[in-house]
Amino acid sequence: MTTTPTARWRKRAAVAATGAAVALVPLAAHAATIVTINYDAQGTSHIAKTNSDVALGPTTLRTDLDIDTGDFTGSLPLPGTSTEFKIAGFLPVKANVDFVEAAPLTGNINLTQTQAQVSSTATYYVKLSNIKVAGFPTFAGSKCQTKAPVSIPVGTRPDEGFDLINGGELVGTYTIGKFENCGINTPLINSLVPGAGNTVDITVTNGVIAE
Amino acid sequence: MAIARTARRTILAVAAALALSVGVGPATAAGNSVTVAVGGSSAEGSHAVTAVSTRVEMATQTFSWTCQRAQVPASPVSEVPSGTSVTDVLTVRAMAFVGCSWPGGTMPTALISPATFRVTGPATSGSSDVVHGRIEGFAIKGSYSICDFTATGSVRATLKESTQQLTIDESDFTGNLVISQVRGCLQLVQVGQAMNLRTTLQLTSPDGAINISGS
Repeated sequence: MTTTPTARWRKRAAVAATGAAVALVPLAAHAATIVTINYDAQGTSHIAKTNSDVALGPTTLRTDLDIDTGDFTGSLPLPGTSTEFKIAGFLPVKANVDFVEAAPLTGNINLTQTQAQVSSTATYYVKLSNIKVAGFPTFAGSKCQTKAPVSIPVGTRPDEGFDLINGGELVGTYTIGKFENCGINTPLINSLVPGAGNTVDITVTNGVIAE
Repeated sequence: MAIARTARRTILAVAAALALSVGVGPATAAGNSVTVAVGGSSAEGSHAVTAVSTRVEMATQTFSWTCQRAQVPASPVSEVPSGTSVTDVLTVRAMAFVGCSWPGGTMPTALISPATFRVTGPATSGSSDVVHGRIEGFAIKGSYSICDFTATGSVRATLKESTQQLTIDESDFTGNLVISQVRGCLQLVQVGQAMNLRTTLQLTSPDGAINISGS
């Protein structure tokens, strides 16, 4: 059997169209299998520059764990707290501190046996309010917070593990950046608070898998 | 010189043939045809069997775990057929692995289809044989909140007639038992991995002790 040039062209076009169609069919995406685990969480953060501690929690750490990869997202909402420190070693300063979640918590749990290594990053704007110096209120406004979100990486200590249900201790070091919108207190706050070497220590317990 | 070379080749060929005949190759599903007596009688019949073990060890090359026990329940009935020319010496229709410790909880695990013990080694008329064989059609499924997996294949087993203990000893990651159908599991078990399983089941039949011969 012979084919005309038109027939050959149609055949080639059909083959090309089929190839293009095959190429355009998206590969079946692998749907992540997510399991939500909620933990109790409580800890402290030490602010290096003011040599003061800030309570973290008690709160609920929610993790949406991809049980295929160990990656998770989640949230660690921190209730408002307060801090006290002294300027120049004698002038007392009190302030309310809020950690405003700026992005979902992200991380990974690397499970090898029953103990796991966890690495995670939480991101907050640090907000100050009700600042009192030597007992006297100072106007800092309602939007006195860090210009950029503060990224707080936490993880298990190298020699310690994290139990998927019993939890563990998560520690990390972070840097606080400059504040803005604190009125006339902005220069003072930026001279006192921002800096590196701040530490965080959170104890996570009582994991409950949400069914 | 030529004779020495020929002798060396012959020795190598014989050694290779021996190595193959000694079981280096894959296990076959076929078992030996044997005579099975239960309670001293090899008259044709069927005898219900239950079993329990006190500890189970399971492992892949990335994770190992234990179960508190395995048990073959009274229902559905697992059975031993007595008689001559028996190939499927024991048919296990259900087996539960209880208290399997996994991160975040215990993973209920169970046999998902009937499995049969077949004899591959010698067995005499005495009651002190340790009869080697395989459990064929072995398929178990484990499932809990963060993980589902299936393991299928066959496992090495021996029946110690004097104690009526069936020891499953699938070790060394032979690939006779292979993981499949994994959901989650945080990469602790992965599709295609060889799995080990070890436990010793104490068999009980109300009709008496099981004795295998004629293999």
